[in-house]
Amino acid sequence: MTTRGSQDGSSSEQAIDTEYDDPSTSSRSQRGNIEPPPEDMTHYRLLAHYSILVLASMAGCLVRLGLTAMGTYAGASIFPIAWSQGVGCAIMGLALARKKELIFWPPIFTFWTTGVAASITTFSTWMEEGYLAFADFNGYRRSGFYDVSHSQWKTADDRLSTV
Amino acid sequence: MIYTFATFAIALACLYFGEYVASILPHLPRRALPSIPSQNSKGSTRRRRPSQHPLLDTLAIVSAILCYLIALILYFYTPTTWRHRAIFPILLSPPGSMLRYALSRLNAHYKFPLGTFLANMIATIVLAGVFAEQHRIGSGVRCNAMYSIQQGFCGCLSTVSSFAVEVRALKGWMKWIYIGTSVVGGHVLMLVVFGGVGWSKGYGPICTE
Repeated sequence: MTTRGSQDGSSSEQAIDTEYDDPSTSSRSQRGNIEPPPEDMTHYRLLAHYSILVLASMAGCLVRLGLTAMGTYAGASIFPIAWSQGVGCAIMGLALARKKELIFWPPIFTFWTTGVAASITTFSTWMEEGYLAFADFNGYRRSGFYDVSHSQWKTADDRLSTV
Repeated sequence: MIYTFATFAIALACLYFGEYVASILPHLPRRALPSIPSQNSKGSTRRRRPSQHPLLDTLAIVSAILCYLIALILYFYTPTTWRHRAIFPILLSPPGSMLRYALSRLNAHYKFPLGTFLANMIATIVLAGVFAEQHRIGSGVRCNAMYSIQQGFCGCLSTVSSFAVEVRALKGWMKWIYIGTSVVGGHVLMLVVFGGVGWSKGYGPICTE
């Protein structure tokens, strides 16, 4: 890659551009795929990255709330937040597989991965509901073994005041 | 335990599912992508660099301002049931996403994806504190603000999708260290903050009038 850049003469530009498909850094870029893409980050571009996140996180949050509301019904066979986790991860997988096509304008890649996919999924609710299951917070009558193994959940909607 | 297992399994499975969907969807037409890095080095000298889209950049910045404006207008002019259920959380979600994006810069510097880990842990601490507080004050707008911080700020600050991608990409022991510290650390933080408040002060019912 560096040889290509030096042949062309405009080494700095080429080095930046060709980092996208450099096989030597593939393992690293695989790991850090969610990082901001390597580019010459001007202040204006950085501002674009941050501001595209506004739309993305609002949309992602609405999708998560909608999926949770749709997944909350009497007799639900799976906990409501599972839908959000699944949909968010599917979007992440889709965006990563199509990175080459999305990268023509790097903020659009940030939009789908850091923005939408990561906003739909939530780690904190996972931890909270996992802890509540461990602690048997809702006071179900069950033996200690089921506190560790099984889980029950209380929906987020129950926490909303009816003002 | 089964809850954590199920969530983790769903996250990893859906990551592969998304990639599978990408493999059957048709590709975007090449002409729609003006400046994709091309394979031949002769052509690549003439094409534009990926960063040269000032119009799209401006559009992104305008969209951010418009989004906040629309959300604020919706907040003040919609029925109260919606407002507390949906509009208040989305007003608080962009700061969470931006903080996570800022933290994600730390990922590149270490073998351990420190940025995502920190984002998840901060979100868990904030959520535990807010959730504990929600059990102690019990009414009205404050209660809904607590709900919005949980769903909006913490929900957008924390992420499972990046977590799953990083777990899949990490090699060797680091993978298990990352899973272990994240999951156990999250539970311990919940225990310390939420359980600690509960044992010392006690809980009331949530959000009763």
